[in-house]
Amino acid sequence: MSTYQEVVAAEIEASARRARHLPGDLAMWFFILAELAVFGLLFVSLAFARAAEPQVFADGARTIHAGAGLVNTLILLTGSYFVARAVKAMRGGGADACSRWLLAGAGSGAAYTVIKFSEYVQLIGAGYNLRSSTFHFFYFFTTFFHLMHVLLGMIILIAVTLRCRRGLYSAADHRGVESGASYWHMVDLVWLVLFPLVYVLL
Amino acid sequence: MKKLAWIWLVLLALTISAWLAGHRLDGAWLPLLVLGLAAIKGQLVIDHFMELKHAPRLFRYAVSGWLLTVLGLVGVIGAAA
Repeated sequence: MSTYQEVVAAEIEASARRARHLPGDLAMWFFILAELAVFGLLFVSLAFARAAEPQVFADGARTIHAGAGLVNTLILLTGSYFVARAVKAMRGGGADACSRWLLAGAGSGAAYTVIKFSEYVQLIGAGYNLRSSTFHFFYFFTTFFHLMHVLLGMIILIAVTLRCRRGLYSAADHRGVESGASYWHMVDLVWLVLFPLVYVLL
Repeated sequence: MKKLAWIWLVLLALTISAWLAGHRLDGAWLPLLVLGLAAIKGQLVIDHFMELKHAPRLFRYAVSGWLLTVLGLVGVIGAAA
């Protein structure tokens, strides 16, 4: 026979489970929405530029390494998966597993950066730069802007890993892990829109 | 296998499919296919990696709305050209 207090406690717990949960800090989500707005503006500008000069974009797309774009997309998706696993691990109370998944996520960012730089070295070595054509302006500007977000995401993931190792997160309170993860997924999401624009649609 | 791992494998498969379609196929419908695949991938990331499926609805609508608006505008601007 349960007491009135027990019934109330069970009901509070059940309604907390039904409540919708925003992963991470509200401030991080405002930051993410602001970032999405900037990237959105950039992608729509790119679409207008392509519509104005379709031949310049078709010729330009042939000068970049499309395979590198494919591999980097697979790497970013894999990194996002690692970071999603880190959040799940922390919810199970596994701080060690969480920090390992987070480091794997940061490692995927490092692999992405190496490939992106090799793309730049190859293109610049072949004589292309921001001023070569409208396509190259958008290619360098947009992908470098995105790369800076990958680097910031890696710094955030490493900072969260260090805090995780110091035992600052628990199964009940790991908002910092969720905030870092949400930022990293945003960097992935933005790339998923950039990928067809630069590497797939010729 | 865990649900997250399945989502990850589907994302990899859709990415390779989109890339192959873009480089091997040709046709007026190709941008629609490639942008449609990007929309599906983006929504999978939003729902399962960002965990917005069970977040306050406003945030899911905002981020999904961003995805569909940007891809839609890219498609329309490209088709109108």
